[in-house]
Amino acid sequence: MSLDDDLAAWAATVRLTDADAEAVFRRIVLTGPAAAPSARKAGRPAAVTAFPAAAASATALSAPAGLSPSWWRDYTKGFAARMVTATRPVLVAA
Amino acid sequence: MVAVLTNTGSAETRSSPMNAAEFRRLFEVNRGAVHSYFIGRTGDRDAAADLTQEVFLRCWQHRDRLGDMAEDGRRAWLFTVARNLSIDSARLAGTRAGVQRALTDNPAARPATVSAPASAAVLAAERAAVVGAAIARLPQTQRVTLAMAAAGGLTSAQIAAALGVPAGTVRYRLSEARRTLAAELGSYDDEKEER
Repeated sequence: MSLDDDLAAWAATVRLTDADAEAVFRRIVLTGPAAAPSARKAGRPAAVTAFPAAAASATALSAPAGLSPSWWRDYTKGFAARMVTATRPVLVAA
Repeated sequence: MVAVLTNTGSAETRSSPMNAAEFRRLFEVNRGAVHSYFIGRTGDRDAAADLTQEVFLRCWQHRDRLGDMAEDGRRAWLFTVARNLSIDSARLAGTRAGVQRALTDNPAARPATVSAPASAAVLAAERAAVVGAAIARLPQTQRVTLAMAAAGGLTSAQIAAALGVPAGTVRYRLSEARRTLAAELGSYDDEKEER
């Protein structure tokens, strides 16, 4: 085995994979500066996002770090509507 | 750069911040180089990933400042941050080394010896570990240069620009590192044949 083969084999074991790099990128851009978790493998979830993956659209990438105000507005509106519906008095037959 | 009229009436210049697409491009172009630099400094893949994340996190936090910077300037900025971080992490390494020593001194923590026939994958992993150990014994300047060339795929000129040293120095370090490794790995091969 040549030295170049040895170095290539070693490099393959230490190089940052595309999947790991993507996870690092998402943690930085989507999670926000204050709370980007470690890139270490141990205990690392597959993809860390601050909100469900479905909401992690491309538009979120252009928003400032953290949840956008419009996401919170929608969430609060939906939550309030659900609470009102759930706690509405129900007519009970006499 | 744009001129902005402030509420006091005075005009000031302000950088246009780097947007997410530009940041993505900067990340894709430089992540391998930055990670391989930290591989050379720490010898630990996961620690290098953590430090790489920290460099780009700081870049994202300072995207206002980096907006109007040229490509070379951005890369130089990244490696300045990387160098500062590796100095900080070196302080922690003393503590980590102590823990590592305690683990290796404890017989219970040592991996069990495998007597079953080794598969090709196991042999390849063993070989990569031997190469990694030989690289870890190199002087730090040679180790960083070699890691950036082998794992980061950078040319001598790119490494020289990133580290702020002449390209000739990079080529010398690479050649010294390869000579040392060839001697060490050659002797490992000889030992293996004797077994």
